[in-house]
Amino acid sequence: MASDDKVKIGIMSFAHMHAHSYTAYLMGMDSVKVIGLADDDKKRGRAMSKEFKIKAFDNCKKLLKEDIEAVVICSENSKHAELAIMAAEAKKHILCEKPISTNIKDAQKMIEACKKNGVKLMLAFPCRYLTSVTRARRIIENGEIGRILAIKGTNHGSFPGGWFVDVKKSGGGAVMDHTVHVVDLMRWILNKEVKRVYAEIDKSIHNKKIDDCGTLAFEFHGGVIATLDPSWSRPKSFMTWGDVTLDIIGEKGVIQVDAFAQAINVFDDTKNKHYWANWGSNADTKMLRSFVDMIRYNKEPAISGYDGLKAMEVALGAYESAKKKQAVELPLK
Amino acid sequence: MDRVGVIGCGKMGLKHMDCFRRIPGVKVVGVYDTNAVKCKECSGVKHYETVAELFKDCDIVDICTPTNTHKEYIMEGIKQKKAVFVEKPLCRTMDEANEILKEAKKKKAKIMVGHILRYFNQYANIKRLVDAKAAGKPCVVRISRVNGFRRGSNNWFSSLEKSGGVILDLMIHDIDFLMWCFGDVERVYAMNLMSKGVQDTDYALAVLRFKNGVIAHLEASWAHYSGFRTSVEMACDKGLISYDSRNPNTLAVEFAGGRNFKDSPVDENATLVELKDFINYTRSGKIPKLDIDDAYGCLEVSLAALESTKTGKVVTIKKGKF
Ligand SMILES: NC(=O)c1ccc[n+]([C@@H]2O[C@H](COP(=O)([O-])OP(=O)(O)OC[C@H]3O[C@@H](n4cnc5c(N)ncnc54)[C@H](O)[C@@H]3O)[C@@H](O)[C@H]2O)c1
Repeated sequence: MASDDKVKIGIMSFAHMHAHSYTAYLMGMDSVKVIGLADDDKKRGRAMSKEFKIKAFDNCKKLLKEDIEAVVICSENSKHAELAIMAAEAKKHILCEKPISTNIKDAQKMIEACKKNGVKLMLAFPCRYLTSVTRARRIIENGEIGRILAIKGTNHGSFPGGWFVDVKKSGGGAVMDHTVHVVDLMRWILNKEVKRVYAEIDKSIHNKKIDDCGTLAFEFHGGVIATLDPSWSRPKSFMTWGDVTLDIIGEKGVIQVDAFAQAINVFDDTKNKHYWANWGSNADTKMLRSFVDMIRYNKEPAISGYDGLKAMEVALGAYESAKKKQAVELPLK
Repeated sequence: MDRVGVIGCGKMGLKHMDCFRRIPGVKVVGVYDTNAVKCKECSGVKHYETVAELFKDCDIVDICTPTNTHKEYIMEGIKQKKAVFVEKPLCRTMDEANEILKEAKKKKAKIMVGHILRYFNQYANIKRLVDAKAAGKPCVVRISRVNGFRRGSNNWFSSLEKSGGVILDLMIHDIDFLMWCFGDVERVYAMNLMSKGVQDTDYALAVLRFKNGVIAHLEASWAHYSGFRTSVEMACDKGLISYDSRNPNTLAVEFAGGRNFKDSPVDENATLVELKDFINYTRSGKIPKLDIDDAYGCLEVSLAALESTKTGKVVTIKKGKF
C-alpha cells in the first residue's frame, strides 16, 4: 500500500503494558503506519522509541501536531480523559484502553469532546474478539439455548503492581481493573443494562492499600441474574495469569466459555514452574483491525465510548455497594 | 440391635436403607410412605400402613420425606424419645426450626441432620488443608454444585413452599461446608430463578461475607444438562486451593456403543460413613461431625439467602433466635 494511503497512528503513553502489543500488531499491518509516540515517562518513551524504531515526541501536543489520523491511549486510567480530550480537539480518532476513565464525569466529557470534534472513540475491549466468545454469542443469537436466565462470570488476574495499585492513577484496584471486560461482554450478549449491583470487596489477598478481591452480583433489566469475580487472586505459582469465563444459563441449554483455556502444559524445572502456553487465536489483532477499518471505511466504532461508560459504571456501583453494604441501583445518581 | 424405621422411600430413603443394612447391629424394621407404591420398591422389610405403627416398632427414625414434612416427624420422634436422623435441611422454615430446637433441647433428644459434605473425602481434606493454612488465609472462595432438574415424588422440588428451591436443596450443602471451614456468616446476598416465577428448574447465585472476613460465591443449579458436578476454589493470601469433580478421575470406562462413565471410587461411600457416625452417636453419645446447632445455623443462612432472592436486599444474619 502506498504510504499516503496508510492510516497514520500515534501512541499516547506506554504506561499500560498493552501499548506494547498494540504497537507491535499495528506495525505489522500493511494498512497502518505508526508515526510515533509520546510518553510523560521520558525513559520509557526512549526505550519504546528504540525498540519499535519510531519517533518519540517530547509531549502529546507535539505528537498531535504530526500528520496522524488516530491515536491509541494507553496511559494510566486517571489520564485517559485529559489525553482523549486533547486528541479529540486535535481531530484525531481514538482507541482508548479500558476502563474509559475513573469517574462518570470524565467519561461523559470524553464522549462529548469526540462528538463535538467529529472524531470516533473506540474502547479497547479485546474480549469481544475472543473466538469462544463470538461463537457463544452467535449460538445465543440463533436462539439455540433459548432465553438467557443467568450468567456467572470471572475475570481473575494476578497482582499487577505499578500504577495499577495506586488508586489516584488507576481509580481502583481489582474491581476497577477486572469488572469492565466481563460486564461489557454481558451487556453485548444480552443487549441489556445492569439494573442493580451488589458487591463484597476486600484487600485481603495482598494487603496493599487497594482492593484486590471481591465478588459482584447484579441483575440486568429484564431479569437476568449474574455474578462476576474480578479478583487478582491467581498466585505466583499458578499456571497462568488469570482467566475470562462465562457460564451462560439458558432456558434450553448452558454455554461455558473458558476463553484462555487453549493451553499447552509446560513443566519447567529451571523455574520450578508449571505453566500454560496459550495456543489460541489473537483477539487483540482483530480488535485493532476493527479500529483501523473504522477509520478507513468511515464506520461506527464497534465498541463505543458509551459502552466504556456503562461498563465502568458497574464497577463504580460495586464500590458504592461495598461501602454501603447494600445493593445499589443503576444508573448512579 | 438398633431398630431403624425409614419414613419416605424415595431416592434418599432407598439409599439410607441400603447403608443402614451394612452397619453391624442395625436392623431396618420397616418403611412408611404416604405413597404405598413407593414402599413396594423396598424389598425385605415390613411395609407399614401408618407411621404410628412404624414408631412402635423402632428405636431410631430416619426421615427421608420432602422438606416441608420434616418437622412433624421430628416432633413426633422427640415426643416418643426416638433418636432421629433427618435428611437436610432440618426443616422448611425458621418457625419450624425454632420449635424443633426448643423441644429437642428440653428433651435432650438425639437428632442429626444429613449435611453429608462433611463425610466426603474430598471436602474433609479441603477442610484439613484450610485448617493447616496450606495456602495461607482463604480470602475469596468459589463453590459450585450443579445438576439437572429432578421432579421427585409429585414434583415436590418445583414447589418453593415445599422444597425451598435449589438453595435449600443443593446450596445448603455448600453453606454447611463453608460454615464448617470458616464459622459464622455476617451477611448474605442471593438471587435465583424460582423466586422470579421460573418453573420446573432453578438456579441460584449467592455472595456470603463471613465474620472472619472470607468472601464466598456460591452457585447451585438444577439447570445443567450433563450430570452432577461440584467444584471448590479457595483463593488464599499465599496460594490457591481448587477441586473439581470433573477431573481428574481415577477411573474412566468406555464401552463399545458409546456408553461411558467416569468415577473416583473410595472405600466407603459418604452416606454410609455419615450414618455410622449417627449410629455411634445414638449408642455412645459421642457428638457427630455436626450437631443440631450447626444444622440450625446453616438453615438460618440458607433461608436468609432465600429471603434475599425475594427482596433484592442483603440480609444480615442474627444468630441464634431460638
Ligand atoms: N443428602 C443428600 O445428598 C440429599 C439428596 C437428595 C435429597 N435429599 C433430601 O432428602 C429428602 C427426600 O428427598 P428425595 O430426593 O429422596 O425425594 P423423593 O421425592 O425421591 O422421595 C420422597 C419420598 O417421600 C414420600 N412422601 C412424601 N410425603 C410424605 C409424607 N408426608 N410422609 C411420608 N412419606 C412421604 C414420597 O412418596 C417419596 O417416596 C429431602 O429432604 C431432600 O432435601 C438429600
